[in-house]
Amino acid sequence: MFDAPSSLSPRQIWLGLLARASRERLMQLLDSAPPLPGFERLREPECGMAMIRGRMGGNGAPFNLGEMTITRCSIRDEAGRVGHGYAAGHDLEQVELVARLDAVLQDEVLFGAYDQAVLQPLAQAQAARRLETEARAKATEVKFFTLATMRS
Amino acid sequence: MKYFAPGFASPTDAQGCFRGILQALSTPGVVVPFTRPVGPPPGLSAAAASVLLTLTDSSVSASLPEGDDAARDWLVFHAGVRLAAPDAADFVLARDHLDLRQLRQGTDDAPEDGATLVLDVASLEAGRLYRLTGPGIETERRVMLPLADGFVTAWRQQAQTAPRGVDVIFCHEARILGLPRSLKIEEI
Amino acid sequence: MAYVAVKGGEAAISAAHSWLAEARRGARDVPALELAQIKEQLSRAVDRVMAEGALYDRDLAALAIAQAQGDLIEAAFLLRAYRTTLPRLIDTDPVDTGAMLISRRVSAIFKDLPGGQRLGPTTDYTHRLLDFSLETAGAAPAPVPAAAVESIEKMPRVTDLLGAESLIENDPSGDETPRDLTMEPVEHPAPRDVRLQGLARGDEGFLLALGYSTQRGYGQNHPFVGELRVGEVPVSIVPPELGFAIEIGDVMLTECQMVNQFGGSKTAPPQFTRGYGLCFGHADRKAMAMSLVDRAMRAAELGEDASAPAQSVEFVLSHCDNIEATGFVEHLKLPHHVDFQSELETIRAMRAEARETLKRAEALGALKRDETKRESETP
Repeated sequence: MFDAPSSLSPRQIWLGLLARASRERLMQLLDSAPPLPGFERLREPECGMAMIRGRMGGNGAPFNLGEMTITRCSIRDEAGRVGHGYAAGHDLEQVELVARLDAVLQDEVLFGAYDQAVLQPLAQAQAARRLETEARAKATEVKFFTLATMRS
Repeated sequence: MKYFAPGFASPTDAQGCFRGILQALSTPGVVVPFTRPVGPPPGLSAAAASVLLTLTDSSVSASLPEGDDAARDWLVFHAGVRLAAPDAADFVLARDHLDLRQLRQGTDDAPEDGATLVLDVASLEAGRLYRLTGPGIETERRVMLPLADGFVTAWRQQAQTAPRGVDVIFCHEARILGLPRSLKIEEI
Repeated sequence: MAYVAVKGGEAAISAAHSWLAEARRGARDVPALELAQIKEQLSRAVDRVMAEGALYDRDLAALAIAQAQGDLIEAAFLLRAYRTTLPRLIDTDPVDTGAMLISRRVSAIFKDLPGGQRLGPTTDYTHRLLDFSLETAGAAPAPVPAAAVESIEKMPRVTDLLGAESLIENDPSGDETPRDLTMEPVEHPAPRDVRLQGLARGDEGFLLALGYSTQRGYGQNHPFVGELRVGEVPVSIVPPELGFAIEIGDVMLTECQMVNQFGGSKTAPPQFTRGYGLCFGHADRKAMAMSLVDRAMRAAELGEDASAPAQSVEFVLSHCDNIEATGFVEHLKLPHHVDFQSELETIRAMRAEARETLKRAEALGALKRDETKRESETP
């Protein structure tokens, strides 16, 4: 999904960004955003597992590779918006923040402020990190010299 | 998915309901109250909602009547249960009498695969008087049961194919009554 | 008597645990290990524990390693036990290793390939000399070179390049729900999805030895690494309450495509056959061993004579899980006093009987010698 953002809905994109952000980072970014509304929990933050599936040969039939920890949480905020959070790992506070942000980002009016304060910085940082990995990997690319080059 | 509401307030509430279901099936014919049932979605009694949420998870299937969209949303959200047709599901919720023979019966090797019918009824004290005998009852127990016509016949037929069969849990408000398939039911 | 024995056991266990805790801590004048240090600086150990514990969570794996004093099978055991306390919430969409954020990608069959050979942070070209400079902790490593890139380059699969000419067999595609050996016991003959799941959590040493055995002639034909790739892959799920796919994070995976000598029969043209390895973390050796054993276990399916250990699906799958293996092996330490008592009595009885038999035989022999002697002395 790194290279096909245009085929995803805004909500798919922001849930992916938020899931990858640590609790500390989210709280830090929320300092520059309007305070999140009050909420009730529809489903308490809980930690469980997702079974990761692979494909035989990389693109064949699926098989179960092994499980990973995931957290999830669902809330309804004061304005009646329902937000869902899912994230890899076991940080219950982080996934509750994801759910609360998911709720408020669905509001057209409020979207802008949270997009600017939280989503844009996350998108930039995550894209930069991926590009840095690519840059480092590319620097380890073997440049084979052809015989012709060596002779000259 | 449109309907969202909380599930059990705490895991101990769910455990309490599990205990109640265990009691109801172990002492058949005795009405067992749930002291801390779950807040039900529209259309379900607290008892029926508690039974379904306590007993189902992503490894089983459940059938809920057409039109019970809120209840389906709620159960799938909290339990991750798979929805299935009444003749294929592990747990079947109904309000009216269903022909037991149309539900999953299990096999001799896996009798536990027989369906559990959760009947959400208008009253537990209506209907006729029946004599219950069998496991969980020392001599006999006489109870009023809201059984539809043909239920006792179907129940007798079911006993002939034991251990295959269906177990039934009656629900009303926050109380349940269990009829495990090993029970003998006779009209008085 | 039984009451006293239990109390005595409790006191002994309590003392043992205290000593264990101190042994785990080591010398007090040495700083205590922080889990972050294990996670960051022993990341290959973390990878292995996640793979064999069958649970991807770097923090938990680091904790398990610390608790197990570095005994990695014990750590995998801790993680596998912890796994039983967590509910399975959902299954992910199958990961797309084609969309991997490549750290490392090499091929032994093609020199030039689209995307190139990228070594990544590999130990392959170190000289395997102990680096004593590491005795001084905290030295900052030199800055890592970075190429000027503007976008992430696509890396097509090498097997697709071969597949374009139908030179390599296709893996059967499809989207059937795979079987899960954590939910149902393995029944033989085990299908390939179950085999790969078992191998992915299998002990690296055991699989390495089996893979090696195939190269030494215990089954198998000539394998080549078609492609080895290491990197992060996004993980995606479709929660029922959303009804669309969302990414929940990334996992580091190693994937090995092993290309093997061509088969071919009366009905099918010769093609390269495949072995596949996929495992958690940066684990070249594990993924490669897994792909060798995967190919070996396909012997029957490919019409080959399946007589070597690595080709026996039942042998491989029954013994590759080191938690199962250590459970049975180490259970031998548990009291078998009563069993052994009956063994002792049996052996004593057998020895007594043997002595009796010998005595009788000697007595008989002595009688016979006397008789013979008397006969020979009789005039």
